Amino acid sequence: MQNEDTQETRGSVEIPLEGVASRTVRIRAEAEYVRSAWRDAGIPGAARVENAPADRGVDLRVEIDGNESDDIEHRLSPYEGKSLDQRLESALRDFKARLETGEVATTIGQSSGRRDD
Amino acid sequence: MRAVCWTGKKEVSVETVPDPTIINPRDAIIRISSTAICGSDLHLYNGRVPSMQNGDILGHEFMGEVVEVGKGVNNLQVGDRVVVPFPVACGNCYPCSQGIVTACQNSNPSASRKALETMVGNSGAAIFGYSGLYGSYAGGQAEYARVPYADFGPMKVPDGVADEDVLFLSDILPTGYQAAEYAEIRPGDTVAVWGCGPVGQFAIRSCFLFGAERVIAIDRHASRLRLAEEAGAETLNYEDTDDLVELLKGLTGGNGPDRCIDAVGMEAHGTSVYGKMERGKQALKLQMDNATVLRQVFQACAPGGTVSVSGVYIGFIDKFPFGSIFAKGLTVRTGQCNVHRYMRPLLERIMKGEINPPTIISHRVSLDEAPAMYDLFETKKDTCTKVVLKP
Repeated sequence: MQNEDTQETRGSVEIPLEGVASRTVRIRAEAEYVRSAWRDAGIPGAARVENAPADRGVDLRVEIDGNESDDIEHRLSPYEGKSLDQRLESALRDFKARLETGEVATTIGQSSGRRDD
Repeated sequence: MRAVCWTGKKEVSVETVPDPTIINPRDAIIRISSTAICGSDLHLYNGRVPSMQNGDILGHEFMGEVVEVGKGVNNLQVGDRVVVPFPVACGNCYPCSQGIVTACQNSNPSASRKALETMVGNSGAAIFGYSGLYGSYAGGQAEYARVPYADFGPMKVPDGVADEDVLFLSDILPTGYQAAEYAEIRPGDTVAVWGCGPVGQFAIRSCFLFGAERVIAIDRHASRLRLAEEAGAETLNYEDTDDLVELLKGLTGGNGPDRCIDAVGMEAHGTSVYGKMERGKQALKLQMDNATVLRQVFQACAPGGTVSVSGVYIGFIDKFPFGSIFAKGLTVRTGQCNVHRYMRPLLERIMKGEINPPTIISHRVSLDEAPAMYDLFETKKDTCTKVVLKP
């Protein structure tokens, strides 16, 4: 009962994750909570947390150099995407969801009539 | 369980599929007591929405009884009767905190959403049973459904209230109401409503609630125009005129209606030359959406007026007349309905007898009859206004 839409590139580690990628995501949470959660998340990259305007949470900016260490592929393997940038985007999306909602949305394992499920 | 599955363009079938289970802590499982076919399901049926897959379970208008809750759901109990809003929304992100649940940033897990982000700049919230673009969640035309974020979305139904009185709070009643709210109606206004399907019917009734003096309802099906008339609208059959825009201006002192509502969307029929050209361009894939009605609402609307678009549009339109909006200084409001914020106020209006949702139901059938009902809804709109399925 897997869902192709969420499965296609998640977990594949053969894709070389080269170059430099940077992404910013706004999270509706306190800065200290975000910093603490980031330390525990295991996502590679250098992170900066700044308060967003008008009390709208924080902006988490992360930059990853794909050549920096050998375990980047492994640490980004749970996230979907075919490039370093896409994997980082996916990782930050999941991180934001976990902090804001306590879970990450998924359809993997749901009921379906798809023949290949 | 039995579920209505999309199996290809103009093909649906009722199939036996695995029962849904709790996957995330905020999930609930609902045993569905009533579900409906929406006009927007026909866009899927007709193959207009990319990223559907053979076997996807359809349906985004449903209600039923809670049979299981995840450990993160504290406000629902097994046995509660609930109506489920069609947008899947987390309730925690910034748009959700502002009531704009259709822009939820956390609910759409599908890889296909990226196509929508690239195409139109944002993927928005997921929708039950509405393609990979909108999350690939299994829909509610089934015996059971998994409902994510069940502590935020579903609304409990008071004892003694019939399914048919509240089922449409899941989508079409709030959608019609939001269309009227977005039209920014002032007392004394004349409002024209294109499309007298289910959403159009509720938009017409809502226009009067917002203080419209006149509502002009436009369609080509006699039964739908009759329903609009019963709600107090004047009616126009667009097939009876070569120039609908001029006709509308003639009925409104030469100005055009103060407010115009498009309750049709991307599959407008349109029998005029321009309507046929729109359909041709759509068939040849020169544009994604048929803009017959959009062109008419912008042409017809009075200068300084408001256009509210509740009909569904997906992507690109060829030679869109934006100059018309600019020249007349029109206000345009549109978007999927933020159902959650309308459910309780509209429930109160139903309980007071101000709105009577069952009046639009034309067919009540079992789930097994869904394939025949899709065909009927698509091909015989004059006899079919709204189908309710009883799993």
